[in-house]
Amino acid sequence: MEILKKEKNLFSEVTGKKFTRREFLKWSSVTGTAAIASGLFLDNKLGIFREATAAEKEAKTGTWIYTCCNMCGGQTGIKVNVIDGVIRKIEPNEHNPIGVANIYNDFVNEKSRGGRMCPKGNSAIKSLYDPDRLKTPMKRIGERGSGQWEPITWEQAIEEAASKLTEIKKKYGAESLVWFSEDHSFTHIQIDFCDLFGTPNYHNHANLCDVSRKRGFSTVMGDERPLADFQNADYVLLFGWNPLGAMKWAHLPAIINRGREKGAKLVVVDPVFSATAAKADEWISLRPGTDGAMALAIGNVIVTEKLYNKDFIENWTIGFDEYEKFIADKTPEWQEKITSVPADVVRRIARELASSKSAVIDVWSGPGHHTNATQGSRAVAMIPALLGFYDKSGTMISPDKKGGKHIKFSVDKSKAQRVDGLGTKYPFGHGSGIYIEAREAMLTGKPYPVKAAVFVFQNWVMSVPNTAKNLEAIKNMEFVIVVDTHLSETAELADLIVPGSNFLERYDLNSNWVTFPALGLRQPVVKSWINGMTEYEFVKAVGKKLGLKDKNGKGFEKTDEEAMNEELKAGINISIAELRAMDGATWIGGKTTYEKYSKSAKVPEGAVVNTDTKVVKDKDGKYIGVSNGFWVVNGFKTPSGKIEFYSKQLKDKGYDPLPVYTEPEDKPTSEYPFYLIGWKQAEHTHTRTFNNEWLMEMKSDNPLWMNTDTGKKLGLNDGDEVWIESPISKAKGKVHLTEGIHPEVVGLHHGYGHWALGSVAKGKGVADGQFFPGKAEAISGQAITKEVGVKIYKA
Amino acid sequence: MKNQLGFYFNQDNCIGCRACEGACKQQWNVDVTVRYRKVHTLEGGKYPNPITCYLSLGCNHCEEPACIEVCPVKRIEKREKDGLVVYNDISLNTDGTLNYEKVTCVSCGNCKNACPYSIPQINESPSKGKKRYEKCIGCYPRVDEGLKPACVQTCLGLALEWDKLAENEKISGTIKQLTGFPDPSDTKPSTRFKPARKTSNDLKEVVLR
Repeated sequence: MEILKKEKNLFSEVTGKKFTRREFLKWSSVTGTAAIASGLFLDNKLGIFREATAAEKEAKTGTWIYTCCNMCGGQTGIKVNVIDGVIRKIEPNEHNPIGVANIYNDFVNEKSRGGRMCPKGNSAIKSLYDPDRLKTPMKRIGERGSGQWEPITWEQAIEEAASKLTEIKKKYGAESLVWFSEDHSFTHIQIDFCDLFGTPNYHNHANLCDVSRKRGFSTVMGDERPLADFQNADYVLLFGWNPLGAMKWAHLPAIINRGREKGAKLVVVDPVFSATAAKADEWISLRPGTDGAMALAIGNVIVTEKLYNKDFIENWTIGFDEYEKFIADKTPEWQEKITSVPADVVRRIARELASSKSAVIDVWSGPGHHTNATQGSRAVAMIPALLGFYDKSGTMISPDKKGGKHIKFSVDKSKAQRVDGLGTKYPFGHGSGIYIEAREAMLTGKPYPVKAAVFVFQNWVMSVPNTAKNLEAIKNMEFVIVVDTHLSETAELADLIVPGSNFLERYDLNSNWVTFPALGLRQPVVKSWINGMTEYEFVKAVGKKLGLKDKNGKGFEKTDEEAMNEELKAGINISIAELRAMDGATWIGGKTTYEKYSKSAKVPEGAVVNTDTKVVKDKDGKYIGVSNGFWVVNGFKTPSGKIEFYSKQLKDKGYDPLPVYTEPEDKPTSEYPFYLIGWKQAEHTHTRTFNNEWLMEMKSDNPLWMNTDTGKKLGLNDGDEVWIESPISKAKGKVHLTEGIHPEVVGLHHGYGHWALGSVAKGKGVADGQFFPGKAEAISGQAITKEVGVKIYKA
Repeated sequence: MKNQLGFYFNQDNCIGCRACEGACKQQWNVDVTVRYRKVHTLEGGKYPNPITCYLSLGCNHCEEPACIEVCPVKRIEKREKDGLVVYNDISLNTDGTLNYEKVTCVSCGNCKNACPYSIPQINESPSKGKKRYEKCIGCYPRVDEGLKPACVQTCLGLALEWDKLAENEKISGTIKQLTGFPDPSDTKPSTRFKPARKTSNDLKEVVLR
């Protein structure tokens, strides 16, 4: 009772409120929070509530640190609550546009309503503190893949990596090393390492992702990644993109829904009734890989009915006449036989598009992972060109991207050509390389021997199509290093396994994929609980041990923070300390700008105008703009400075200059009658989140989707066990009969079917990668991960 | 109840991503197998016009909760100030986590059986404290600090909102019952809905897809 009196006094003293026994009991038993909210806390010694000191408050409630998520490549802005060195909770960071909006005005208007985070970010704690994480470097002691390991120190791991790489270099040359990594994350240090070591063979994730889209758009309108202004569009037409499932950037659902609320019409073209299709006003179900044909027929209607934007075509495009001739017979009726989409539907959509005030017309990795992907993407990219729907509000916008500048070492270019044909066989390939060709070289030793492979933050075995070939290729190597957080299927085959870091333990700069200049800081929020090095530190340490230096005697001296500071200074002239102090540790460098192509360009001294094309280039040959006879405008960054319906650069390298439709190479056959495709859903990233127990609680399995009528014809019931068999692999799975898939198509959510990775992931679902032959697309080199015929029968 | 708080679920905006489940999970460090918030997926229609929609449910913080009366140990209470239905034997630690040391639950399952929405779930082998029934507590500690529940804060599709029931009822097009949601006349749930613009009468829950 004595204490109660004290409580009473203290309570009224601190809060100025009257105290009743009932009220207190209720507070202490039910909430306790009211006390926290008012700054009170229970002093265990005294057994009473008293005002907490600032230090006590921080010790109990911790601090909030701003950083960027990396559960996927989207880099959502987040803030992290750390109490006594342990992460308590992660919440959205409204100061970072990733998670709010991708148009500057929308970002400013919406940030007071807060940022957004996806299920993966919300489950990140479980990946960070996953007990299955690798905790120490390990060296293989048994046969490759035997699972016999000897734990070694970090110093030994660095020594081992350096000595083996030296040996490989001496025996076979530096170019016999191939390197694979995730993109967006600590890529610069890895590129630097390859440069200084002397191998041209660095690869990263983009080749498995969207390089066909990149090449589709860049050859048409000069930008590798225009971004959709969903929030302000009048009409949205998506070919094989599922931004509400494979969401890529956390603001996409919000900006799409805001657009829908304002009355935008959403049309989704996809063989599967995706999360995005489920929200669409219209779902257009078609055969996989035939999107290009439908896009051409839309072009046909717009051109033959003269619905196009004449001014825009005259002023800002070339090759319209050739396109008009080419498209003349690509009628809606022509495409119906190919796609299965009724001709009148295509005709109506073309007319609706042409009568819209603005429209987003976009294509990603559905058609993007087929053997005809680049030309298909080009056919789609030409629809907005016909209507002038580029770089205007509510259309496809070229982002004004600014950020850190990678300061490269000065080294002579490797004398060896790239082993994967990038720049030779693939003149339009992307800097991320050609995974399929690199694997071929690992298998065949051609065009020259590949003897060592390094895999950083990438489960290559499960990610690259044709799993059997992946396994064989790795087994061919003399030396393999895998840096990963988990003992992945790839790590199982390594000679040296190095524990990777979690994103909450490391630095990175994230130049944001929004339409205006923005950059978020990723910074260590907690100390590595495994006491590990970050990837940056490990790669740097091996480089140092190897004594790698550039022509000026510079090597790996800088810390991660110093290197980032330099990149920031060089790119946007701020320091890392300044960035850290900005609201939400996010730099915003300007507003969204529109119709940049018509604005005058800054012409540097020594720039030269090409008299034929009127294109202006600087003295190093870099595109500056295009002369309109009076002054120089930005134009489009194509060889002509204009949108190109007809691509001379493609023709010069032996490709069709027009967006021809060709049949997918690996279509179903009488023996393998169904198209097999894969997709992503919101709960998982690639093949790497499958040991996260919260994400696996949300989605633990990936049944094979099949149209209900098709299933009935095969005598199947929902939930039945079936065999999924392609010409190269077969596996057992459960079937989900649904109305939401094309009757000729079956499909799997990508990323499941692990036999390693960790105790949670193991044995759940079916890996889709095993079924695909694993080809590279002819123009972009894109790895083909959605094209094969399969047969399905009861198990 | 005058100040009754409640969820507003805009089904037309829900994309079924389960960010809300994740936010809830980390807010209360909920053990695997128990979900205070759960997204239900419903499929219907006929190819080529299928329907998929979602129903994200936490506790409905009913105006006349059936769970309170049937609990033999009286561990469930309805807060007078805002009508949230909470446990009186689970308190809050100063670091913001829940304290289960004094749980009195006898795991009879009456609450779950009485709840028309089967919201309370058994936690058979909890990481902390004894076996018990658990459910969404409306994030009352956050609400008391002037914050929205964790699920609402993170919702990617702008589908979940939170306000006084009286305010939610004023939103045009608000309804009390969605397909798949039991008759609200029984316990007067405080959740309000905006239905998806496309729906059908044959919706069925799909557990795994």
